[in-house]
Amino acid sequence: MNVLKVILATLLASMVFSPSFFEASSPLQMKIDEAPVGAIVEIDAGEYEETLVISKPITLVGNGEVRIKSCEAEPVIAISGEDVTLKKITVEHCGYEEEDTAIYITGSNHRMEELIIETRRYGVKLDQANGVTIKDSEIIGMKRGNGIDLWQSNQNTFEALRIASVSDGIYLEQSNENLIYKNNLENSRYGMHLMYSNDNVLRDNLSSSNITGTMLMETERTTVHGNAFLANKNSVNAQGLLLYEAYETEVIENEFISNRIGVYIEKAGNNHLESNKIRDNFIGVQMKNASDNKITRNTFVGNVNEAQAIESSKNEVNQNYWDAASKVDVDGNGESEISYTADPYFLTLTTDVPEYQLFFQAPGLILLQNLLKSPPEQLLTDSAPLMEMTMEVEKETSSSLGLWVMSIVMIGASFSLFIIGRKRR
Amino acid sequence: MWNIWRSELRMTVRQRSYYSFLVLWVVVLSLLFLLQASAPSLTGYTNMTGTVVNIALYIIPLFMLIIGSFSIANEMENGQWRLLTTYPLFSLSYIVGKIGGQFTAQVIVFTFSYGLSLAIGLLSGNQFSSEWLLSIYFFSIQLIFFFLIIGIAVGCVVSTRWQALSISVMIWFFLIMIWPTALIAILGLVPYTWIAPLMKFALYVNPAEFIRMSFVLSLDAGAVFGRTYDSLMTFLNSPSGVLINVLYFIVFLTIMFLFSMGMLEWRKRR
Repeated sequence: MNVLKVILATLLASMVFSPSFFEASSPLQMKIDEAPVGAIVEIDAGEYEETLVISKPITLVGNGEVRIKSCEAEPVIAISGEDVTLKKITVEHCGYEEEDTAIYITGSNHRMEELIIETRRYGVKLDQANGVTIKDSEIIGMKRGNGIDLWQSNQNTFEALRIASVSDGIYLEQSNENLIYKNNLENSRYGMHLMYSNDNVLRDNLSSSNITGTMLMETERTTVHGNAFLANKNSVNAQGLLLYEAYETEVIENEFISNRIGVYIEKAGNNHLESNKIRDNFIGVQMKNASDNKITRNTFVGNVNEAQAIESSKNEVNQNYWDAASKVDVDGNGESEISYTADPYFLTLTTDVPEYQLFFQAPGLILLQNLLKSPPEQLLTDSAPLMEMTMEVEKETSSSLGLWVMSIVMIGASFSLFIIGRKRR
Repeated sequence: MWNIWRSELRMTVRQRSYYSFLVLWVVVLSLLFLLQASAPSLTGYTNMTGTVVNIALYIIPLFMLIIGSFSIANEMENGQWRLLTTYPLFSLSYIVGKIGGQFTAQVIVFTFSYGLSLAIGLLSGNQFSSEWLLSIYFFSIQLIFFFLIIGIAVGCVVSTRWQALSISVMIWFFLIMIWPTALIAILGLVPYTWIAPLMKFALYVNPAEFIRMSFVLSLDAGAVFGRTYDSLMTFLNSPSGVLINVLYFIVFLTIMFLFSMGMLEWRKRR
């Protein structure tokens, strides 16, 4: 009995005075407060349940597996001032309040690297923060708050981030000249969402399986270059890229693959789409009330419905490659002499009565198509479609051995049934 | 029932016209598979898939309606059915045997042609995705099944082959070709709020539309039908949606059987 008691006592004691428990009661905050300006504060491995406030230029580095966790109303880490660096830290916010945020940043020139952020609401909030860099990090949410949320924050850089299961992957409001580069945004509402923000650059990002890959609303001079928008199709409102009242956007060399709508342009003008690959979408490009946009040298391949536009005029559409177009090149300049028109009859039909959307690609629609011919000014016309694609389109396949087996099984099985069917008495 | 089944199968596979179907399917399917060579991608719902599905929807229902209705109308014309009525034979087992025999025969010829066309496609250096091939295959088999049953029902109504042909073509033209046009024309007359429920109802009335919708849904493309059908699509995609498919199948089969049986019994009494 005595031995048992002793063991129990030591167990209890070891639990109470264990290093992690001990450190939790002597807060990291003290270490931070004591550190001189410019110091590098190393945090030992372990789990810390507290909130931190950092307002002077220091560097916080995790030494091994460091997890800082809090379920309180305030952010787990609040950063202000200048030149604060966080490195190799896992930050978890477990609160369920509407505005709960894992990391709150204001001030300028902070750096966040190799962080893992787990949150139930917001991941990182930048409030009037400038020149902040966040890179090589991961933000995982519960679809109830944005991954990175910017408010009046300019010239920040977001690089090589993986953001999943949040509301908006990266959300910018009234924030200009930010660079969003090589990030991976998935399973969220919007991958990137820009509102009233100008001169931002979106480059080489991958936005997949979101409701909308990227939405630009009331923005000017955004650059969208080299991004991939994949499989944003599982919602009835899904699209790869949505330009809504967006102006002077440069959309160049992006890939739009297997989305419900590849690019949707509404009430937007002076945008420029060039050299994009628009493939296997249910609808390639759709325009509504859009004018003065330029769509040129894109490759449209395998889209169920290539393009449709209503109430859109003065758009310049030419020199695209359309795989559905009939092409003849007489003078050998690489452009077809037959112009390609996309009739928006289906869009016209379904804007009045959305229920008719069920007829999408119905076999009887061909008959209807002739009845519903739209007036010429409503057509989206490419006056000189290209003869060749502007880029390589790769093909995915099953192994041909498997297919041979399938073919032979089909032939063999049905052939033996033939014989049986003919012979039986 | 099994005797009818077997004799129907044997008679069908021994007909010369049966082998003309083999040629027809091989030609059509090979062309489609060769066309596929120019398509950049093979999986999912693309314009190529849309084209293949539409061609299947044009051609399969028409031939199945004609085959189904002829198989009964033929026996009506040459007196074989009258002979059969002298035996103690249930109308239902006659119909089930007919459908079973015809369906087996048609699946055999379709499968054979599919395999052969696939081999031709592979020999000519094309590449395919097995998932895509199988989904198209099962889509076609479903079409064969549903329209054979409708065809048999037509056969039970008509008395000559000429009637069978004209009614078959009429049904095909209505269900496939002018279905959207007809619906839009009719729905233009009803109050706006009725349109959504009537469209959903119409979806179940026309097996071609129902099969097409399930096929699109199976390719994860239910979102193309828009917001109005979002809840319906989500529901049909869930496990209980499978139940709806099975239920649809059973209800459709029951209605068609009862109808055909009723027609035959009525004729017997005459």
